[in-house]
Amino acid sequence: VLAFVDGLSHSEVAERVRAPLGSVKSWIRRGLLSLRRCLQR
Amino acid sequence: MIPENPDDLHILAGEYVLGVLDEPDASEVAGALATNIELRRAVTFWEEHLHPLSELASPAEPPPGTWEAIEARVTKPIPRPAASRLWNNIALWRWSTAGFAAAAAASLALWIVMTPASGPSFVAVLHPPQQDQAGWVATAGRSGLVVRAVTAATPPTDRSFELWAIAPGSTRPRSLGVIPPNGELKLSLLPPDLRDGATLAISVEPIGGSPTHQPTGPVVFVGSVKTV
Repeated sequence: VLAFVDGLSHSEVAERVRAPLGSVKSWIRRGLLSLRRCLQR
Repeated sequence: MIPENPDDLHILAGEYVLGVLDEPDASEVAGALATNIELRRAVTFWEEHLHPLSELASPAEPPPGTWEAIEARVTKPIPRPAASRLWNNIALWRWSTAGFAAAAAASLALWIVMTPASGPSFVAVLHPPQQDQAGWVATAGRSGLVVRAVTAATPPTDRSFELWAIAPGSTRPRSLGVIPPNGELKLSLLPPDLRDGATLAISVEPIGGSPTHQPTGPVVFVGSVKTV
């Protein structure tokens, strides 16, 4: 939601939540993957 | 590099729609959209599911001068596409033989394929009367009408939500159908009442819709249609 609604990029989200860039990327990927599974059911 | 694995492809498309990719990756995806059907499908999937979320963003005022800047940019003369010059070329038609006609037909086909889809697009945000919280978003264009719930809204037990359109200046709502329980109504044809200034409304009706072809229950969401 941060990424989409506020238009933040991977690195901006990382800065905002004070987490490593790699973790943010993998959170978003995991999120997208499970969101897709849930939307396609 | 656009992945071939469907999961990876879908994730990349999701990241693209979310807008988290950096510039080189984003332009690679944008470039591949024209040729990669799977990628295009994945991007459409995410756009359809994520765009209603934009409603959550708080409205922002553009900086002063934005409109003047846009105006200055769009009033520059726009070069006509080469294919349409070919189409308008009288000499070509005058001298056309069967062979020429075939070539011209092919370039016309190309011209039609490459001309971006035009026609008006409409959007409406429906909210409860006297409230600001958006409940539904309606988007309409040449491909029809899609109405989607933004927040979880379910009709009372044993009732359905029915969607109505009221043409500008009219007082008589016309039913666009009962909204399925999944909160998404799609119409492949654009109803004629749906144009700039029209009103969309959702009322509570008996299961299966109003028996009288006019709303019988309370109007729970309403919004006006605007051209985008």
